[in-house]
Amino acid sequence: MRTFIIVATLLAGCVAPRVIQPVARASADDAPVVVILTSSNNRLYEEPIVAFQSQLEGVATVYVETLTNEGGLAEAVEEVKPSLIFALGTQAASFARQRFPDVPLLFAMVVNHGRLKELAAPDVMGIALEVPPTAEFTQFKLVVPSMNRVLALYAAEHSSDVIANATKAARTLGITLIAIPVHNLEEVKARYVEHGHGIDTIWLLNDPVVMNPASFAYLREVANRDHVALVSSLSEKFAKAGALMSVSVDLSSLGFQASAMALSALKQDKKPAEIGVQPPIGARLVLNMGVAQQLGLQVPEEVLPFVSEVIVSSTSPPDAKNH
Amino acid sequence: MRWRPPYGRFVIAMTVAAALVCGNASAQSAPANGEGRIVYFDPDANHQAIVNIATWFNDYLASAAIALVFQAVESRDAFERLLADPKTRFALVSSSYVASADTRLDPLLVPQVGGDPFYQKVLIDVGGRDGRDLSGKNLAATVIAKGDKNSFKDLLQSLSSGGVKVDGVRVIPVAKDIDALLALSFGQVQAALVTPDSVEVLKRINPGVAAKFRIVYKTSPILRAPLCEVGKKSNARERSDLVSALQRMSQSDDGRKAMRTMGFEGWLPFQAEMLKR
Repeated sequence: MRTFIIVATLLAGCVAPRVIQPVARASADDAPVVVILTSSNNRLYEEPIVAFQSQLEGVATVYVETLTNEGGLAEAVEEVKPSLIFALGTQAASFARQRFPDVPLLFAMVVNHGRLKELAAPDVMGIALEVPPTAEFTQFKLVVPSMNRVLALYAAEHSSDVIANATKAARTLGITLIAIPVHNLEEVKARYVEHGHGIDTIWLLNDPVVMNPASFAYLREVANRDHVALVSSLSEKFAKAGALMSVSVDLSSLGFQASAMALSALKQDKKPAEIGVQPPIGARLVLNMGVAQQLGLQVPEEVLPFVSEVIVSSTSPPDAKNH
Repeated sequence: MRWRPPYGRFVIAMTVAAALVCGNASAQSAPANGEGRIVYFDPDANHQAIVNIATWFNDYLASAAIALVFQAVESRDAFERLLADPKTRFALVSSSYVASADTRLDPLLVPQVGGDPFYQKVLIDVGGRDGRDLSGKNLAATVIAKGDKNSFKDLLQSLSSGGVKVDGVRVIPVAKDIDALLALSFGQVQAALVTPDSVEVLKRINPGVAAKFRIVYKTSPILRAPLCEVGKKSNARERSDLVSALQRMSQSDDGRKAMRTMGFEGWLPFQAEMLKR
């Protein structure tokens, strides 16, 4: 046992503490330090980081670090005494909050941030990953002005607030939102059979019961069969996989939005609590023209300047069982 | 390890796949040996749509038997690198760039909407104190930024020259006017710089939101991004073939879609006085 302790102590002494290097250094000695933390090396984080960094150039010394299995990150971050941590991703946000509860936190790219209790704190501000229903429905209406009766299946325990907002937003746009709670895939199927008559659109919202491969495959299949538009929140990949269109966050604008919030907090114009959690500015509207043609929808060319991407090739909905 | 709902992984996996697909798209536009290039850079354009624009433009050029490749870029640096390349014979670039470029750019055609080669932008807020004072405010505008700190310089200079105070304004670039207007309606920005047409579109769809808007400033007319010959690298035949092909562009589905996505519906011959206005 004594030998083990001696060996372990020697080994520990040989391992140098982790040191992090800034990617941009402000000239002033008293410039604030901002640490950007990402949950992983996911390429999706690159665009907001580039945008964020460009606006803090010369204002703050900026470090960019990724959560890894290697130890010493928390100690290394502590060493540089950050004035603010910008966390991208759920794990990075949780890590920052747990390890640095006294450092103001700005988070982004956290799916359904409301489920993370640690992010509801006075020193925390953030950008939601979900585009507000008003913005989503406005963009859907741009492409399909005749959108009128929209079915939304949702899990009450997760999405009641979203549904309440969406119902109001839909009403202002002349849309009737038929919101039906469900608990599982079987109920998704049963409720669609009961409530799917007379609708022209199914809205796939960011909800764990409906936004998963099995429910998506089922809704895509029935939408195709019944000539109903399937429109989606959160990710353009749903449009690429056979939904008519999707509205998701614009990652470049998100980086600029985050930089404006960070600068406001660093210059003490506003406290993080006053800034709070904001909806994202900017959205990507992706339209699957193949699905539009299958539905017999005439999409006017006048709307093209408002569309981020048109998927030109025809998309045949794959077999739900093979999804 | 924190619990994460399964749909989170599903969405992330799908989104990563989408990003990888998009990442390959721009490389496909590079010209092959011997082919010339038209390079497109308009900071005011919907930069999210450049893959579609390039695809439709190239399909149109191929159908019109024009041996040129249309390549869209998202930064001034990338544009200037391509401008120096001998293969770049034509450029479709903002008129403000043409007016100040070091490289010789000879405009040939100008985009038009309803016969008008000019457009304007309006600065909009939702009321309150002096709308022409953007000091310390957040402004949403369509401008390609891509991490370039100076990318907002032209935008702010044009506002400043019109008497708008821009000290300490924070520009949030967006891809589409509708994004700027929605951000304004949610109170995330205090002003939006957009085209008057986009306000009309939003009024039609969501009149409640648009009713809050107030126009506080209108820019001078801006000449749409002209098609230019770059440094006399082309020859008379290639130039004339391209000009006549572009003048027929609205007769083709691909041509119309490319133009519409770029925000215009046809071309006019360039006249020198257009740049002076």
